[in-house]
This record gives sequence, C-alpha cells and structure tokens, in this order.
Amino acid sequence: MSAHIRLLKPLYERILADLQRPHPFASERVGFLFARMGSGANDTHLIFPLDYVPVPDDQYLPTTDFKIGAEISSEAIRDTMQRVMNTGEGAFHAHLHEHLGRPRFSRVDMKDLPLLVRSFQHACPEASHGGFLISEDDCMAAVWLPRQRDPITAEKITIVGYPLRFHGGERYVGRR
Amino acid sequence: MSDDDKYSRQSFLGEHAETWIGTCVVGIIGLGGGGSHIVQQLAHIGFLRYILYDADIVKDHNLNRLIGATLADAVENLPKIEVARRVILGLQSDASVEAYRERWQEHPEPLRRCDLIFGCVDGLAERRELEACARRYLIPYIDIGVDVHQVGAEPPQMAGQVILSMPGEPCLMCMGFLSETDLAREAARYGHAGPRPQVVWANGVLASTAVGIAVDLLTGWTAALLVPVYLSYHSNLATIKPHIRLEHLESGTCPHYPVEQVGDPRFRKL
Repeated sequence: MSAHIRLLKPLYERILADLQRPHPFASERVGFLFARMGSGANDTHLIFPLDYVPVPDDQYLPTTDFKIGAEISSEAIRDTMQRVMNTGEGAFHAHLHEHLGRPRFSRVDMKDLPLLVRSFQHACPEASHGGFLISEDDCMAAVWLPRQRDPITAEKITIVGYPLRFHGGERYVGRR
Repeated sequence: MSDDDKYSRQSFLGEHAETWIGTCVVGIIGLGGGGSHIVQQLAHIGFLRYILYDADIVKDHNLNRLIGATLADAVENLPKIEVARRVILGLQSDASVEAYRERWQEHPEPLRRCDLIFGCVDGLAERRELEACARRYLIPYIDIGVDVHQVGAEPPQMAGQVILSMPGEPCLMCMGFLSETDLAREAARYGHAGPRPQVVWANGVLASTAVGIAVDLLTGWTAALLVPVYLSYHSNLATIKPHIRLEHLESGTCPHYPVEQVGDPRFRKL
C-alpha cells in the first residue's frame, strides 16, 4: 500500500504563508487540510487536499510545556471532526518546522497525532487522515489509510504548479 | 558532472533537473505518429517512469511516421506499445514501463498515478474525456494534434496545436479549443471520419514543442512558462505561435472543472 498526495501550488503557498504567521503566545501555528480521495492501481491511494482551515487564534490554549509548540482546544478538533463527518473528507493536521530540508515529526507529534487521527477515523473511517508537516522548502506526511491503525509515510507529495515539485520518499530514488 | 556524463549537455536545465525528470511518472495516451515521437524524446532526456496506452498494432500505413517501428514490426503486427517499450528500454534500460494494449478508459486506474499526461489522441471527445480525467486527479495534461484541411482548389493547409491544460487554470473548453457545438458535430459524424492525414515532420514539430513544455514544467529552467499554453502550428507557413484566443481568455477559475469534482466520484449525503 502506498499514498500519493497531490495539491495545487496556490493552496500549498497559502498553507506555508499561514503557518509562518506569528501567534500571540503559541510558538507555532496549526491548521487542518481537508482532502478528497482517489484510487490508483497497485494499491496506491491518492489524496487530494483541496482546502486549508487555520485554527483560529482563540482556539489555542496557553501551555507551560516548552516541548509543545501549540496546544489547541477541543473546539478546534470538534469543528474539524464535524466537517469530516459532514463531507466525508480526510483531515490532516498541518504545522511547520522552521528549517530547510526534509522535516520530521517530533516525539510529541508522534504521540499526539494518532490520538487526533483516531477521532477523525471515528467521524469518517472511509477517508485517509493524518499529519502534514512542512519545512521552509520541503514537506512530508504521515497517512492513516482508511480503517488502518498504523500510519505510512506518503511516498510522494506533488505540488501541482509551475514548476512541478515532488516531495516525499520517491524524490530520493528518482535516478537509479 | 563530467563531459562524459549522459546528461552533461543538458546540465543547463538545473542542478536537480535529473531528479525531477527521473521521478516524474509520465503517461502517454496514443503511441502513433505523435506519441512515438514523444516517447523517444522523453527517453533521451532521462524520463524513467512510463504509463503507456495504445490498443493498436503496427501496420504498413503507420510506417510513414511511427518512430521506432520497422518493416518487420508491420509484418508481425507488433503492438505499438511494444515498439514504444523497445525505444524506451533501448535508451533507459532500467526504466519502468507499464504498457496497456487497450483504451485508457477501460483501465483508468494506472493513469491516475501519472504526474503528467501527454494526449496524442484523435477526436475532440477523446480529448475531453482525457482532460476530464486529468482534472479530476490534478494532473497537468499536454495535448497535441494536427489535421489537414482543403478548401476548393486551394493547396491543403496543415495545422495543429499544442496545449498545456493545468489543473486550476483554464481548460480546453475555456480556451475555445473545445466547444459543445464542435463536439456535437463530431458525434454526428461518428463512423464517417475516414483516415486522418498524418506526416512525420508535423508530428515531430508538435511533439518536440510538447516535450519542451514538459521539461520546462518539471525543471522551471526558463522561469518563464506562462500557463495556460495554447500554441497554434501552421505547417504551410512553418510557424508555431501563441493562439490568438489566449488574448481573449477571461481570467478567473475554470467553471468546467470545479474543485468539488476532484477525486473519485462518490455519493453525496442528502
């Protein structure tokens, strides 16, 4: 099984610009991507993020744990679950690690993300959900395919625009 | 990069060009006069991942334009996909070639995995179906085609087009290349189109132009590709230039392929 994510460049740029905005007290911003699904051959799951919704400023919670960049309220998660349930879309938690190169989920991300995804799976088990992590020039995603307990890393993320850009695992095996 | 490197003469495309080109999964629909040119050029450039569709076999009347085909292929009725596979693997021995000897509509799932699709098909309805699939799965689509027209005693006029249809940008319908009137006219002629005139040099011009657009799209080497692309080719005048319809294109999003239609079709809860 593999997952390919494809999104339009204007949406990608909107996500990046939003996540780079400073927050009044949180050290990072969070948003949610909403995606449609498609089926490719060879057990390839195609995921098309079509909309991005930033978490509103008033849905961030103050935290004293320096390991946590941003803590969001249950209201933010409920709103996301509601949309997932209403639309059948997949939801991807999105945030930014401010550096160049391939980003990696932190330990905190890997602890919290499965809990969040479980909620989304309850709202719509037929969709893929996960986490979308951006750096200043790259991105990666952890994907829970429909009804799957464990995530996989998106094999390819294509930013559709000029120029076309590929991120994810395949980028490094392009030339054999 | 040494001068002996296979790609040293195209290093101006950029430091990462080989990676982008080698990573791109390219779909080619129709491996006749246009598609066979495209396959050959992509293999020379360094494309490594192909998804090919063509249901036809090589016949004598293809040999005036089918790149890579031989007299023996026509005798043996070799499928066109096998000619394309041979051309690719002759230049890129480790390339991945998924080839389907059928219409893409009969087995569309592999096509959805493409990062870029070349359409080298006959007819307007075929183009509309292919573009609709590309839009639904957010895949850039490059269309080429050529035709010959003759009016009265005037010399035949050979003309064609190269169009880049990018998801989120104006489509073939927006650009005026397709219209409901023309589609209906074509449908009314169903079965009476007759053999289409095709020559190797016109196909070569259009295929080369299309491949140039694809390489720019992937590498960004010109930093100047203006999307959408609609180029008009006049063989009699030996010109290829932006189509005049682009000047009258309305800005804004494409109304024919709304974002709500992306992904697999599904039932909506009422």
